[in-house]
Order: sequence, then structure tokens, then C-alpha cells
Amino acid sequence: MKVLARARALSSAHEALRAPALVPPDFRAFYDAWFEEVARWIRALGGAEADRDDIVQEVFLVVRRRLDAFDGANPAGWLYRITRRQVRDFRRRSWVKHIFTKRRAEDPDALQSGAGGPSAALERREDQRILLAILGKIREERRTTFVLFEIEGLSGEEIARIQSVPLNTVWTRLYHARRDFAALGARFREAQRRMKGDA
Amino acid sequence: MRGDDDSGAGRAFEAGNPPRLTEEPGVDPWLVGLVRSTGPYKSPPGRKQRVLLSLGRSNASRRAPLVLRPVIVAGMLIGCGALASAAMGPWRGWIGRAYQRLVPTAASVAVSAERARPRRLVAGHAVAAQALAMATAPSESPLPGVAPPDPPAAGREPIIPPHLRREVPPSVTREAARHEAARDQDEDDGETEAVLAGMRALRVDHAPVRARALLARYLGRHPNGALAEEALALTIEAALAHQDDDAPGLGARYLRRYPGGRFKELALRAKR
Repeated sequence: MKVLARARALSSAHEALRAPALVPPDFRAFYDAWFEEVARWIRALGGAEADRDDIVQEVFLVVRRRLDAFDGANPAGWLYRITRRQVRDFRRRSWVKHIFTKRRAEDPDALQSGAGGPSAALERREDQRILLAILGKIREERRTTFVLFEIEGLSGEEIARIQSVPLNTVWTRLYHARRDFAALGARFREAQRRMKGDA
Repeated sequence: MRGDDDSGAGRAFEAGNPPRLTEEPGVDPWLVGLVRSTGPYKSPPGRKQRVLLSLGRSNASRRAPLVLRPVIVAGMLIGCGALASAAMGPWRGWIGRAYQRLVPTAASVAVSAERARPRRLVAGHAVAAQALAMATAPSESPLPGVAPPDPPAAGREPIIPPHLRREVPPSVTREAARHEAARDQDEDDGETEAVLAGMRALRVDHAPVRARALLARYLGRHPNGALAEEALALTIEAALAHQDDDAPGLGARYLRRYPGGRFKELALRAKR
């Protein structure tokens, strides 16, 4: 049995080693350079954590198919457009999928550190859940700008470049997103207070 | 998002990079805490390799080839269209019947009577004949707004003549019977339409000459048709209404062909 298991493990390792070789080298460089960014944009665009691997894979499948036709100008903008389309498609497909199956609650991201003990971790997880719920109610462009600026720490110029919009549009979107965020947050707290009062 | 693009609401930010929400003074600390709860995204270790591996596996796109897509779309459209058509087919009949029930008109009464025939008798002639018999019997159902040319003849029942009854032979399969019924029904529709047109011309339009022409055309085409008796009776009635000279001859012809016919009294009156 041990020999069989070892042979199976070896075969999958060989497969893993072989797989990247099937990918063209240019694509591989592109993939290495942009993987993290794409994953980040997917979160900003509201892609579910559970679907993130699949969306990234779909994005890079499109990239591999169209890389030859890409002119090389503004790769961030080009990739962002593909990512945005894929997230939208995934959301549509998941809507259809969830007509017949129970929708799973949106999972917050895995905690980056367990500092502060279990109660702090729990509080942080709860905050993440509330943040996701509030962000989910903000319009897509505003939300994306908000997340990229406030959470991912991108500058206005970077956001303008990847979204292919003027810088002023980024600021306007951010302004509206902050206003929406504050209003939704206030409404959420008011609802919570009312619930506590009822209890 | 055009509103965002053109709005001047972000003018306060235009001077330069505004401070992050977490660094801005005067912001609700609870909101700041929410934003701080989530840091910049870092993909879990191994995800990059895992996705790359699955990319290497899926050499071809999972989507259907471009040539197949229109075929699939066309197939789905045809299928959905066929389903919708099958589902909506009987609606027109129902709506028409409901409308006729609500708003009965002279013409629609006759048409609905003709359409309401049962299909148990294969030829379907029997009910068309019944409808016509009801319509041709002036004493039974005078049509609204129509002045019958003759005084009503009492005591007439719309009886289906025995020669029109044709039972489904037991040897015939259900499928064959259905085909036969459908074919017969098509033929019947043409026949009954001609006789009904004659009747309408006589009773509704008060045009006995046109009625006679229509009925003569029917009798010429179908001398032994299922509605030949009714057509001949209507012809006699038209001749009487127009005071034609050949009315007695027509009455004699009717009595010769249908000695015990339902319109015997009319024929006798014409013969006199």
C-alpha cells in the first residue's frame, strides 16, 4: 500500500512539474507579474472568496488566449477589464446556480494573523462580515474604487490607470463611496440598536 | 456611473491625494475600525501554483466552440418557440369562445354553434348539420335582428339524421381515427363554411339571390354532401323569399330526394 501511495504522489508531483511547461513562457511571466493584482481586484470587484481561484483561472485563460493580440499598452487596464467581465459572469452564473441550491453566506477572508487571542480574532471576523455586508450595498464602481483606495492602499493615479478613467472620476467615485459607506454604516448601527432595544 | 464621472462632488479631492479614511480626522471610529479589520489582500500560500497547475491542465477553453454556439442558441430558440406555440395554441380558441359567449352576434352565434360540435362522430357532419338545423329552423332560434321570410314552423326538433351518423369502426386504430377525423374536419370546414355563407346571406343580409348562388355552388360541388339536405332547404327558403318561379320545382325535388326529410313541411309549402 505504501508503495502505491508513493507512486501516486510521485506521479502527481511530476504532473505538477510538467504543467507549467505547457504554458508559453511569455504568459508565465505575465502570470507571475499579475497574479496577486488580479486576485486583489477580484476581491475589490466583489468576487466571492469561494470562487476566487476559479475566477483567477478564467481570467488567465482569457489572457492566454488573447495575449498574442494584446498591444502591450496599459496591461493593468487590459487585465482589469478582463477581470471585471469574469467577475460579472461568475456572479450571473452563481445567481443561476443558487436558484436551486442554498446560497452560502459570504465568507470573510481568512484572518491574516491570530494576534490578540481568540476573542479579538472573533471580533475582527465579525467586523469583516459587517464590512462585506455594507460594501455589498454600494454601487460597483464606487465600491471598487473604495476598496482599492482604502483597503488595498492603491493611489488615485494607480486606480485611474487600471480602471482607464480620469483621475477626477476616481476622486468623485471615492467621495460618493465614502458618503454611501458612512450612511449605510449609520443605518446598520441604528438597526442594531433597535434590535437590542427590542430584545 | 456617468453621474459620478460628470459630477463636481469630488472637487474637494481634486487638489491632490486625499488622506485615507483611516487617517482622516473626524471620521466615526467604528467605521475606521471596520475598514482596519481587513488588510490588503494576500493570496494564501500555494494558490498561485495551484491555479497555474489547473491552467496547464485546461488547455482548451471550457466554452463551446464559436461555430457551435449559434447552433445551440438556434436549437434552444426553436425548442422554446415550439413549446410556447404548443402551450398557446388552444388559447386562441378559448379566448374566441369566451368572447362569443360574452358578445353574441348574429354571425358569431351561427359560427359558434358550428364550432361547438362534438368530435365523437368521426365525420363531424352531425353537429354541423345540427347547428344548421337549429339555424335553419325559423321557429327555434330566430337570430337577433333578422326577420325570417316565412312564418315559423312549429314542433321541429334538431334531429341528427341517421345517414349522418358514422361510428368509428372498432378495427380502426386510435391514430388512424385521429388522422381521419382531422382530414374530415378540414373538408367539413370548407363545406359548412359555404352553406353558412349562404345562410348568412339569406338570413342576415336578406339577399336571397346571393344566397341561392352560394348554395347552388355548394350543391354543384357536393351534390351528395353532408349538408346537401340543409342546402336544398335553404335554397327553397331563398326561392320563396324572392318569390321565384322554380320554388315548387325545388320543393318537389326535395320531397323526391328526402321523402321523410326534416324540412318536408317547407318543401310541401313551396310545392303548393
